[in-house]
Amino acid sequence: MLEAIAFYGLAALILGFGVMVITARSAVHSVVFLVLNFLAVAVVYVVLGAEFLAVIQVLVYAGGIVVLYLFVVMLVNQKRTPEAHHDPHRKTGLGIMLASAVLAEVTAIVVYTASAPSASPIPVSSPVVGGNTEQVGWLLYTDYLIAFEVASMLLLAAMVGAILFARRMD
Amino acid sequence: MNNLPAIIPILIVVLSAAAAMLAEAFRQPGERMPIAGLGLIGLVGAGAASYFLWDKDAQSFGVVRADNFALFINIILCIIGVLTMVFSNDVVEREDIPGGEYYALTLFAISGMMLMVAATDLLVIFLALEVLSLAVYVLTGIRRESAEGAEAAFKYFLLGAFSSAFFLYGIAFAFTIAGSTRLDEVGKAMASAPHATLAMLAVALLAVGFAFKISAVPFHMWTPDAYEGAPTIVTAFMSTGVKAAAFGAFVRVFLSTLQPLEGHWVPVLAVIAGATMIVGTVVGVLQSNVKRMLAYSSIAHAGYLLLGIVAASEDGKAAVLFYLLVYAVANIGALGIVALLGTAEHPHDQLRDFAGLWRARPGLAGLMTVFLLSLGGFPPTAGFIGKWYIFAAAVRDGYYSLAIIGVLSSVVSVFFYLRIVVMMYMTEEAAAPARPRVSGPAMAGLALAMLATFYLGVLPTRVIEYAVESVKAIV
Repeated sequence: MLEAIAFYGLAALILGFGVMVITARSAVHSVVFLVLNFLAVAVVYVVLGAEFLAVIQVLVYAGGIVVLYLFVVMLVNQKRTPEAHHDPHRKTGLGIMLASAVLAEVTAIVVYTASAPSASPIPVSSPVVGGNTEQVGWLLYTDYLIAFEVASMLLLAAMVGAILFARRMD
Repeated sequence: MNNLPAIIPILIVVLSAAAAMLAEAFRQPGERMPIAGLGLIGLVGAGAASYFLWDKDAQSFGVVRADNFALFINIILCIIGVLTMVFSNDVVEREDIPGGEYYALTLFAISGMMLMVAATDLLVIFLALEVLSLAVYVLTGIRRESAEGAEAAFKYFLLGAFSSAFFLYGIAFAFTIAGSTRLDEVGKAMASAPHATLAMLAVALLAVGFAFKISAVPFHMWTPDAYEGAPTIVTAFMSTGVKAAAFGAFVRVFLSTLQPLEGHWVPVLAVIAGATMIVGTVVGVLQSNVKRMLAYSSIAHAGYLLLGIVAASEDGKAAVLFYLLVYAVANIGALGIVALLGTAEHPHDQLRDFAGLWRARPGLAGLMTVFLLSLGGFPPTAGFIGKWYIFAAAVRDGYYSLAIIGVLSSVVSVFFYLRIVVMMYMTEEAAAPARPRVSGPAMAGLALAMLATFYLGVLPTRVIEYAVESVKAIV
């Protein structure tokens, strides 16, 4: 029951963010909605008990790929939106608020660590990896070996194509 | 080690693709390298491996199965690949195509095609489909200074990505029912079909994915643009190779795994087959660009092949295999000649470019005539036997109206094939830039294709027996 509620809630979120990705007017907003979309998918993985996939989803998609998207948007969309120039003080209040929040946070961290000098350094034991990493690895190299290898071939072909198109014409 | 034999042909092609990439990496600027030769070695090796695997029914890791069906199409793909390599050697430099990347991507595409036909797992079929699609998208736009090429590649890529999404959704629904992507598991689950709606969705979405790749109406919109915008040699390759691979997987998935749901998808495919034959032929008549015309002709041929799938008897399946071979040889021959006569500045793809070819190049004109007659289905060429075999299977299964549509549309299609022939023989040559010389190996490749066309047309029995034997793997 609880799981169903979680799933449908998340599914609604994922769909909503997906719609926002394609309806948002600025490309940067699209990308940000895409991040939220990926994060919601990661939560679905957690609900399903696939923690490893969730971590990978966040690291690779929300982390790596979206950053690349942002770079592309940044490099391609070089003209700024006009209103940003009209009023440089438009978001001053928000800026001060965020800046003071960060300042407070940093101060808190400094004060906290300074007040507890006896705290031992974080133990360097190997972290307990969520249950199914081993299973995923095992499946990848047994049942899905061919699929795994073909995926790498796919990436190689895609790389050749990408380099071909991106290379400077000589 | 028992797992390896089934993937040996694929591995060989992948290795030759890697060799092509390495060769390009070590090439000095301006140095000429016979990279096509590397590809040839790989393809001949893969063909030989396929020959030795015949009747062995080797399996790899439970997801790749080199049964006779896959091997038959492997051989077709090797023939397509060898002809492509031989023609490319003439064309690549002249058309200013980056050689190493071109050969590597072509070989990657062939390995993807082989894997797609041999795979018995929807996931692997999808990945193989993506390998071949990505490679072909890039090949379509490989001439970067050509605006048409870029446009064609972009259209093909966007629509192709869209169709991949459909296909993937189909796999997801099949997985929901079966709890596995293995074809046999999916087949079992479909046979018991407890969730009829989900099964319908899976079938419909998979059919859309396949219909796009074989360019069946109404998913054919990309075909004329992609075929026209791509370098002609790439058009020759993709109009034959992609079709052979997609039809192979189509037959395997629909006529074995989804056979239990036959009652639902056969009527839909029958309508699609009819529409595909009609649209391909009628619109083809209106074209004045030969590449575009052959694109519509390839759509019509997809319709004939679909007819074989609809008539899902043993005969129908064998007819599809035989027709794929016939079509591949004739189509790559015809488009190969267009490619061999074209240069980057002057693609030689307008109908009037063919005026007076008989006087200037009697050999090429003769070969072109044979290939076009085979595509049109004239006896004693292979096209006649292929079409006769498919239409006979359709009639035996009671699809009279479809068979009639097929016969009528091939009669109409003769009109546009003959237009080129008339142009070559009966029209005076217009003032045009000199046509490039065709090298010996390329001529030999064309001659072999012609011999195959006549052999399959006059003495088809042996190959048909092989085809019948190989479809026994698809139950």
